[in-house]
Amino acid sequence: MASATNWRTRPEAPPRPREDVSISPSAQLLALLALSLPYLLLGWLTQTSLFLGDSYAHLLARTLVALGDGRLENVVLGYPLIPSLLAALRPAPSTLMIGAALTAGATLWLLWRTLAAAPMNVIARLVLLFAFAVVPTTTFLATQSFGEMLALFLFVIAWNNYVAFARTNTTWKGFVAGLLIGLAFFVNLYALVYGLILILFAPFYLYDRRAGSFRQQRARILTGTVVIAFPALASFLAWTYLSWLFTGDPFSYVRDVISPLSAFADSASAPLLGWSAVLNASLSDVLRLPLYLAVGIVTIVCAPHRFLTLLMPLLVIVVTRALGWAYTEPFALATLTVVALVGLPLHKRLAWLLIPAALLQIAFAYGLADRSTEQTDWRNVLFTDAPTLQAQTEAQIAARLAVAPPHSVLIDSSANDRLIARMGTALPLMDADNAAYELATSAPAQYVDFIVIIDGDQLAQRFDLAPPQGFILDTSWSGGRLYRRADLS
Amino acid sequence: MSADEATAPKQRLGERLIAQGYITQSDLDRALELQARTKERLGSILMSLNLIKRYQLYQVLAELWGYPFINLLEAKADPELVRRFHAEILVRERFLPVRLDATSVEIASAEQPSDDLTALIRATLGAELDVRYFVTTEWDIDRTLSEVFREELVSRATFGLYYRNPRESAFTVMTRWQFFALIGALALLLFGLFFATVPTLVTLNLLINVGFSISILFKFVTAMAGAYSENVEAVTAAEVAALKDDELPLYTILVPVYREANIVSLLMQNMRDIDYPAGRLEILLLMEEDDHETLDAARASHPPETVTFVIIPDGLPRTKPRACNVGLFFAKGEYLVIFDAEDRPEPDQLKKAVVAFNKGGEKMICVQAALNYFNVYENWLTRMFTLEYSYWFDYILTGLQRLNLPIPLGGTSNHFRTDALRRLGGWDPFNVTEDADLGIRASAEGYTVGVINSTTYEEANNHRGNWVRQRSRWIKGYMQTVLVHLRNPIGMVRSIGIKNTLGFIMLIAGTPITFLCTLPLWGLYLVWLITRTHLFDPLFPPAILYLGLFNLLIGNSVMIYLNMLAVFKRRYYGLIGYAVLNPVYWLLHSVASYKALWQLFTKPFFWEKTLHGISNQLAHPPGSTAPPA
Repeated sequence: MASATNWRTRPEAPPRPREDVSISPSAQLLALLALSLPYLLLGWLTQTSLFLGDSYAHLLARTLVALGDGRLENVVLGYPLIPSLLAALRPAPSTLMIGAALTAGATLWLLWRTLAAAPMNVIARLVLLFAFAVVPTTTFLATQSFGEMLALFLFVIAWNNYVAFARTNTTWKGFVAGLLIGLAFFVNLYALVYGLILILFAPFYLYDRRAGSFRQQRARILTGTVVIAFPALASFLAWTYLSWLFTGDPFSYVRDVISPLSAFADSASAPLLGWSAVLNASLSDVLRLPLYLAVGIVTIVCAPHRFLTLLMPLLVIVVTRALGWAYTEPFALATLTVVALVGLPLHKRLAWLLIPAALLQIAFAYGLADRSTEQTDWRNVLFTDAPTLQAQTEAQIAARLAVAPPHSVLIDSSANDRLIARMGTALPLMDADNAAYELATSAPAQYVDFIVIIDGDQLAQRFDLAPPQGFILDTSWSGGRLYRRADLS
Repeated sequence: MSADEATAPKQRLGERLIAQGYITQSDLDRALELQARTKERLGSILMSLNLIKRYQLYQVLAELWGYPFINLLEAKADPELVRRFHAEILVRERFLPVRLDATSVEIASAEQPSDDLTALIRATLGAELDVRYFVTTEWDIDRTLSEVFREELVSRATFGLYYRNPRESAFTVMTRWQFFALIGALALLLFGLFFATVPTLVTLNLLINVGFSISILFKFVTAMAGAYSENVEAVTAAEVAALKDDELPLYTILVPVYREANIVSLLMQNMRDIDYPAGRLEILLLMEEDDHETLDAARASHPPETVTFVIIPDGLPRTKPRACNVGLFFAKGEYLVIFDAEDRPEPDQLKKAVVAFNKGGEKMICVQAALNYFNVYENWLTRMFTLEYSYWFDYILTGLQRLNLPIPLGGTSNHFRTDALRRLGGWDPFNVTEDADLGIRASAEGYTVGVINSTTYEEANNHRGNWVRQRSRWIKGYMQTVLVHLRNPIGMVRSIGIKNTLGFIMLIAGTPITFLCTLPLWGLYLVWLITRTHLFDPLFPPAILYLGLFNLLIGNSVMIYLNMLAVFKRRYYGLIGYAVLNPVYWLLHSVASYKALWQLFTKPFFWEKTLHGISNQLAHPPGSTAPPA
């Protein structure tokens, strides 16, 4: 990790973007677009293969239902806010995919600028960048997880500013670092983890050997820590207050199905992971990251005082996982790789070790199986270029229901994210937020044309065994059925 | 300086002073050494070193120049004769006609008489007159001018700006259309409340919340611009070091004091600490005529000869700007700065201002130094005040400059080009934040105002009642400034542009409005929080509710955060926790704003005097602001 120190040594200059090389904004924009292009193409391929990740499906479905009901406040108050707002602009998977690809391009550009400070040639730097850019975990995030990609991007900027803040005491840098981590809270709950990492780093980074003992600098270090941490804390408290105000439950947003804390919040149904499972998972993650390990070795040899800061993100991931956070494999691998790249020691010694490590990391990424089933599905779809049967069925049904009359599809919208997201509109839906919902469930034939049943949802309890009077089974697929009014062709 | 004084007479002056026993050879050597560096007049140097009294010097100069000395306290000048000259000319040329008869005129001069001066006198009084010169001190000339031109001086100091352009003066609190607009708005509000209570309240609520949001965003953007340029030094140490003492201009320091006898000696010490050639400093201590206590204390403090007492003639309104206008009349410096009695400017501030003026070009009329406090940790109020000032001067003013928006000047430490200030009409004595008004007026007339990276340490108000008095004056002054400059909104847009007009409205109008709204909004919120009543629900339809929540949560957090950053920059680490108490501090502002509003209608020109010298940390040296270990 860059420029860390302990209580006795002053950090060397950390890697940072070359400030002496000025690049025009338009050139930077061009570079960003160029770096985004592969991800955009990949995203387009994913779209044509009808792949839809769970988190996008949930986000889009929630947004579409809110817009369909005319309740814009449900979009504004949906967590995470920024992906929700983006989804509301044009509620389609491609919107989020484009957002994620552009964010990934921007992240790559930042990393490239950061690597520019490393004492190695362009080819070597490219190899290092590829260890992050071309591996499946990153491409997955860059197409299928706008929130995580944006959080990572904000973290990289915040990190660079944080290091500059520690080095120069320039409040502008602290301002940017703090605000971005605060902003990241509205993108992803992981921002709190990032905030925690920066807070834990504060004693190492803000301590200045020349300015006296740690004790003498305690006030400055503490104040600097508050400057970094306050926006994230304020964002967290503000959102928690809003959650309490509108739902009566201050932490309702962490119970959302896509929240990384949903398992923790609902521990009765999903007990916390045991320490051994967590350590296993984390060790497995680290073993997939030879570059992270190589940077660790170089750091131990060349700048041992910085090693703890390289280790800290891993420790935080382990602890948060143990506490029940779903720190997904792709996101964990991407976070640790980014941490390794921005914290690359500037020493030339042992730098040769990094290149084979980076190449090995790329090889591992393609050679080893993914633990995330969603990522595996995504990879399969990409390599076979053929939509799954379920995706095709969902798409066909969604296309039919999308043109149905308003409020003519009885549905439990909380359990049908994928179908609603594929429909691209919620206007035909009759869900629990609709005033006539109860009447429609009592006498569906008088109110609706279709009924969508998903195993285990509210309507399944009522219409699981057979279609209600006046309805027939139209289509069934794995875990779901569509009933149609018998008199409709 | 005449040619002969520049060469041989210098030696003669020194020798003569030694011969008369006024100074010693070592005093002379010391003064000559300084003179070699600064090229100042030897007499000025000797006076600034307190080695000689002004009367002694001028008596010796009289001998050297070959004219008799005249004591104007004993030989009074003929007032009618004096009035035949413009006061400005007499001040500038440092002479005074004393007596006139059919064939000759007696002239008292503080400069060695020249042919040009003789020609000037003859041009006014008659070409055939025999001009007989006497030597006197500048003090005597200034004092006589104060007596002779007393009425004109009072009138000019009080109504100078009004005569120049009544629309620029706060003497008229509201113009007719403003008054009727206010009455109309109130009538509309009452009408609305009577006939459509809820829609009217909802509209009002919407306007208030939109206003708050705009104000928050404006301050956030401005502060970001300020923070972004925090490493840009307006004036570098190298630029200051490159200044040559002998090229520095005469600098006037105005120090208005009133009922501040207790800190006069401290003031003298602070003035001595300024790093500027003493001979090129003119310190004018502005004291009200009835303030005998301060005058006695000033005399007892044995000020250096560079300090001149200017007695402000009695008159209303008795305000600081009126005193400053009198000081401006007598100021001879190329540049001028105002300090309060307890101010501790950083020593090189004047030099930084000179550099800033040199860099800023002719259009730069003023540079503002940052203000901060030396009694930071005295109590809760001083802590909060320091937080506020650190944020205001380090981020907001710097940000305004960076965004090229009008800058409301702070109460002291604003440095001016004296001639441009005169052209601008000086300060408005009817405006109780004359400094803020002046900054906007300067902008309206095409001048620019800059910010320099130097700090003056003041005494933070440590008493609640005193604080409310001071703050109510400031807020009332902002209200006056808004009313003055928005008398012709279209004209304002034409003169300073839409961006600057909006900046002015958001900052100067926005400040009192937001403070006036703070108390009711927090009141509503607390009532709701405690009782969970649904009484207010109709006033908060979704859009307004979200806007209100944005203001409550994000707005307050942002303002608190900016304060935190400011104290980090200032290294007041012990204050970081106090930043979260800002909402309580803003309530105090709100109380002051209601007092200000009341006074705007009842006592618009009343100057709520802030008591100075009540801190128990006055004796600490400048910059000793670190918290106790």
